[in-house]
Amino acid sequence: MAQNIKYRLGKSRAFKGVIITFSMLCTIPLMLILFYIFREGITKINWDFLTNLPKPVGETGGGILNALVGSLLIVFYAALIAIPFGIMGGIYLSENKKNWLGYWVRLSVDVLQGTPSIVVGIVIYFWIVKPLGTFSALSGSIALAVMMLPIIVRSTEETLKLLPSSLKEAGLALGLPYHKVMLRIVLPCGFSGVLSGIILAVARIAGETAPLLFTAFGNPYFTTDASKPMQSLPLLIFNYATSPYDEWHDLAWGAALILLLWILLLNIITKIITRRWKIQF
Amino acid sequence: MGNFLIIRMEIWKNIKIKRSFRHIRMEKIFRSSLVLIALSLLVLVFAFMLTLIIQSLPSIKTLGFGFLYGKTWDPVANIYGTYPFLLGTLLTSFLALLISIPFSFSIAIFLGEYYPRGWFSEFLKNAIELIAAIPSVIYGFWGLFVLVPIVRSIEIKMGITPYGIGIFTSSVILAIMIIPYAASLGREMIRMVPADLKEAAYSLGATRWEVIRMVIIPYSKSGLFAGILLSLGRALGETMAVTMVIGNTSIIPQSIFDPGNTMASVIANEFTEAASTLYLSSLIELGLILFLVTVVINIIGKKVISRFTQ
Repeated sequence: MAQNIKYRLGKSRAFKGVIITFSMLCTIPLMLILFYIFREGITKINWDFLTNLPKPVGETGGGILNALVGSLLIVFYAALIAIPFGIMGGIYLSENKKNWLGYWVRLSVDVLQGTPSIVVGIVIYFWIVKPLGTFSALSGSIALAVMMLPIIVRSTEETLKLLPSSLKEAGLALGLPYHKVMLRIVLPCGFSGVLSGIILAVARIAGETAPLLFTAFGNPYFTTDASKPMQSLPLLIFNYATSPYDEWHDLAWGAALILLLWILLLNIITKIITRRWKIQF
Repeated sequence: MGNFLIIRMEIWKNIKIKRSFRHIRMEKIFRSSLVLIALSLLVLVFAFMLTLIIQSLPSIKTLGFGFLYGKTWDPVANIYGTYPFLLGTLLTSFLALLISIPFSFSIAIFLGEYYPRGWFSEFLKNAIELIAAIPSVIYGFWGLFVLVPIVRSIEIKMGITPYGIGIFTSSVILAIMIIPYAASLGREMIRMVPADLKEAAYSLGATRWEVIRMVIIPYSKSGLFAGILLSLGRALGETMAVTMVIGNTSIIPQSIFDPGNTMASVIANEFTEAASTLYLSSLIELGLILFLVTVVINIIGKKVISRFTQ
């Protein structure tokens, strides 16, 4: 410690400089990706792009209507499956902080959160696709629902834990039955937290590709039948981006921009909700 | 008239009693359905593991441990050795980790210690969240059309075979993708360092850098380690971006610029084409290994975090 104070201060400043530069550098790839997707995508998107089906190889034009509708449907069904389970699981965990079942459920939610998405695809393939004998949008939705569950469970649990327990006690003291207290009083109070968890989960799975490879599979034609293979935006991007045709690359760029905008929008909505909520409390 | 009133009151009482009985019944149903759903979450995870184990039994039985160190993967000749994929997964993940750690720790220190507030740190925080929000297929797409040509021109300058795609390219993409995990966790951990410890060090005459090195980093060491583990878990299981830029060959990579394959990418590529039972079940065994490894890494990570925060 007998070093010159000037040397030590200089070292401190140099370190701060290094930290700041490295932090700045991180934003560069993000900017590059956003910029590139916008530049390539924006020229491809027009009304025809949104309302037409992909044309066969060799013909220019065509759109991504099938993927757009397919993606919305698959994600919608997934949310429909995951939300009730997720919220109920979250309520259970927030009510049972210390018992053994709570411990193991919390652990399994953690495991589910860390499970690679491709593994979810494999398992759902054996649960749904193989017994039914066909790839289907429904199996894709179930795979995505499994991926949504941990996020919804955790956000519900965390939100409800933050609420004062006097809220629940007041309801119970008035003689309200337990289910009404939980569903009509406690849950609405934490509504914005739960909602932002749900939207975040939707944003997270809207771009998932790997679990859909063996479940929804993709489909070049338009379908709204959940028991048939269905196209989705991420699947379309993957298939067309790795194809050798320029027309298909164009479609993929447009689809990538739309997917990106969709996810950005969902994230911004989550931000607005959580910000509002924090001010309230 | 009075009689009538009494009868009405009796009816009301009955209704009230019935209603409260209904409430009690509903309450019981609600409570038991909560337990049931919680149990089903537990069962779901066990069923996941069981399905993977049962479906990979054929390959576990026939191939045994040779599966792990067999050097050739040739489904046509019915030879299944996964050493190239294990190597590919380990190489890409650790290389990605190596690239991302300086960045994610810088961000953690920047947001946790230097500038916890202010418009710029808000911006940086949102940027990090955005990096985590972009779907992996878009990273892969961008990597394929932007990063691959760049790497290819670097490879030409270096005088090696200009594949463009390969282990190195996928590691770079992966590194970008996993920065947010270690960064946001590290930030939380650095924030939790007690102020009096830092102030004590300052009062002894320590500079900012000395405080960071001798107080903050030792104190939040286990948290930073957990962040690395969670990033690693992400990197191991990441499929789409890697599949798109790694080149998908089953030959053992000789250098980090060679094309290769990871466990996840080989599953993504070959699962729907696997015709024979052994082929399919060896792919599932890969999935099982991936599942077990990521589960162990994640559980250790979470345990470290919860011990640190309590």
